[in-house]
Amino acid sequence: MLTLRLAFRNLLRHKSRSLLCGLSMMGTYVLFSISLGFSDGSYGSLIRMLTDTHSGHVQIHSQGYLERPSLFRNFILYPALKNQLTADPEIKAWTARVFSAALIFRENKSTIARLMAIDPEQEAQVTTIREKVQDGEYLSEAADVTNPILLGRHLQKLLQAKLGETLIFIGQGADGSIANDLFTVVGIVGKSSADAESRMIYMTLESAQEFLSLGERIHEIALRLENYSEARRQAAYLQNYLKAKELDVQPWQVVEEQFYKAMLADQQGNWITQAVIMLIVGLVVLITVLMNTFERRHEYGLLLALGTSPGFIFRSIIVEMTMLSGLSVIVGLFFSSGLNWYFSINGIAIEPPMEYGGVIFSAISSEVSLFVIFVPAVFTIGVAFLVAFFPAIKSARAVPIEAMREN
Amino acid sequence: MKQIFGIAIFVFVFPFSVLAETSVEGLLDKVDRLYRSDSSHATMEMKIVTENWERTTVMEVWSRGMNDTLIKILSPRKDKGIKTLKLGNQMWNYFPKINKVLKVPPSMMMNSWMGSDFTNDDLVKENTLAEDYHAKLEEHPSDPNQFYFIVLRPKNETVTVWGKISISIRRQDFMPVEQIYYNEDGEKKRVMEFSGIQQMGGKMIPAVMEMRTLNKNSRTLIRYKSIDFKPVFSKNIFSFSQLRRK
Repeated sequence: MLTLRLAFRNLLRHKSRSLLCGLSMMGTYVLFSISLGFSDGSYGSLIRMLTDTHSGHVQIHSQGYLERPSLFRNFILYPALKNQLTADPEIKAWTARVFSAALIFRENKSTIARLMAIDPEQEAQVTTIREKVQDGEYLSEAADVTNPILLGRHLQKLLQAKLGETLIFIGQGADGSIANDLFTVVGIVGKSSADAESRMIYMTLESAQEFLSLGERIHEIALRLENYSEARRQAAYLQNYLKAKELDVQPWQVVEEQFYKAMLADQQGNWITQAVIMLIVGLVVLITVLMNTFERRHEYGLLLALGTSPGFIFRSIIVEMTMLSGLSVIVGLFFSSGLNWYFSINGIAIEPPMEYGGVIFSAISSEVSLFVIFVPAVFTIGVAFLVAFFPAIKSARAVPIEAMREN
Repeated sequence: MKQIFGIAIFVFVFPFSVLAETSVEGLLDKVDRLYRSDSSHATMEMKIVTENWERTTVMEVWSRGMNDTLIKILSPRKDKGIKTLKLGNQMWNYFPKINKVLKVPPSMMMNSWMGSDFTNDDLVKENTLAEDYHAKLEEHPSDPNQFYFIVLRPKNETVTVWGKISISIRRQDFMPVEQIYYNEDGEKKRVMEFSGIQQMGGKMIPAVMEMRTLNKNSRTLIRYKSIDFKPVFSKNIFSFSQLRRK
């Protein structure tokens, strides 16, 4: 208790010196926290971008579909499954999908395109599909049109198709027949040809099931949860429930395996950057502690000469430095939380946007989390505690007359 | 005297006619002309069974000589009115729903016809075995007393994926029983079996043909419901204008 009181009194005795040392420690803590915040925030926004634009957080397929997608690897969206998904409080929204490809004709132009069939209302609750419509209207707004489609920007340019025009689709039906029908363009998706959706054609689930002779069958169910971090747990829970139904439930980490692996590799590389920042934090704290203690060698020499035990000197230096770093972190906590919160809302734009695992990344943003706040705090205090051992031992072992002369 | 004349005719003529029929060319010609006359008009049912789906289609087929064929799908409702026109070695499909005629390009000749185990190429080349292959009459591997056994190997200029085709023909009535398709490595890939031999349209024909694709575990069963070898139809039935007519 005496050590604590003395350590606190020492900090107040040299206010300017303590303030300077405290500011250094606080600065390094805030720097480390923001660095972690941006790192986590960037990955978080990447994952959100990916799951919000296409995959959702969890997906359900027929067994083997993920490894080898096929028109024939489908399943019936039976009422019990519908009820289970709708009743589950963890699932915020879900949507059924059908995928295929078709040969598209418009006058003398033709191309092959990937088809994605959706339930317009349910899909809009899981992904940002509605916001992707650049011209025309969304599928659910074209209720009076027979076989409405959203045409990707790239395909629209290729076919030189206009809104309201009818395109010819020819593909393979799930019953082996030649699927053929007419579809009307009601909207254009994708801002530029580079966007992933600009090479897609979106149609309603009903028209795709009729076109492809699928009946009530679908290829995929995508789920949206409260948070992407719940995906693995929820997928495992649903898999357990659906085991007998020969369905495969996977979280986004498995569905978007390529992206996830790239992200993990990138995260590992990012730890090198974080290690460099940790080293800087450690050096700054070390210099601060050394400056704080070696400047007071005369004082410690005098205390030893007056009969203070070396152990007390050792303890007081350790406690003083730990206390200083602790106070710096407490003050820094407001700054780190505030700045991380600010940057989590107002990300920093990347010009030009970069592609990462097939997702266009246009801004980096931070994130406020316990990890981002407490890991740097524990690290800063821990480093201060450890590096204080060296000057503490040196001061405790000093010969009083020599220590007093050093000043 | 009459009897002697009759015996003389039997002794001198019959061996030559049998020889003509049992020559490889004669047998192949019989197989090629089995379902055709100068012209024919048939209704048939095609049942396709695969691992993933099953479908039954009813079709109306017109043919003229060995080269011209028109097929019109009567059911199911979704495919009703789809037509396939074959003129010589070329093929076109017409889809009434989109009112479009599509030529089957050479690159798609080996693709399935209407999801069946028959390829477009089978339809185009169905009656040109004698032209495209070297034929050899061999001893039937299991029952030489019952069947003729023809082995066909492609001519150098023939474009085909088959390395060999074997045909088993019943000796008693020259009816084909089995046709086996091998790839270039000699592996059996498809088997077509003929059955249900009966009198139809004044001719004895196998009313049922079943094609099995061995590595796909699928089969296509064609059953003739009726066939007329002396039909009356318009001369321009094998034309694009008729193809587009609903």
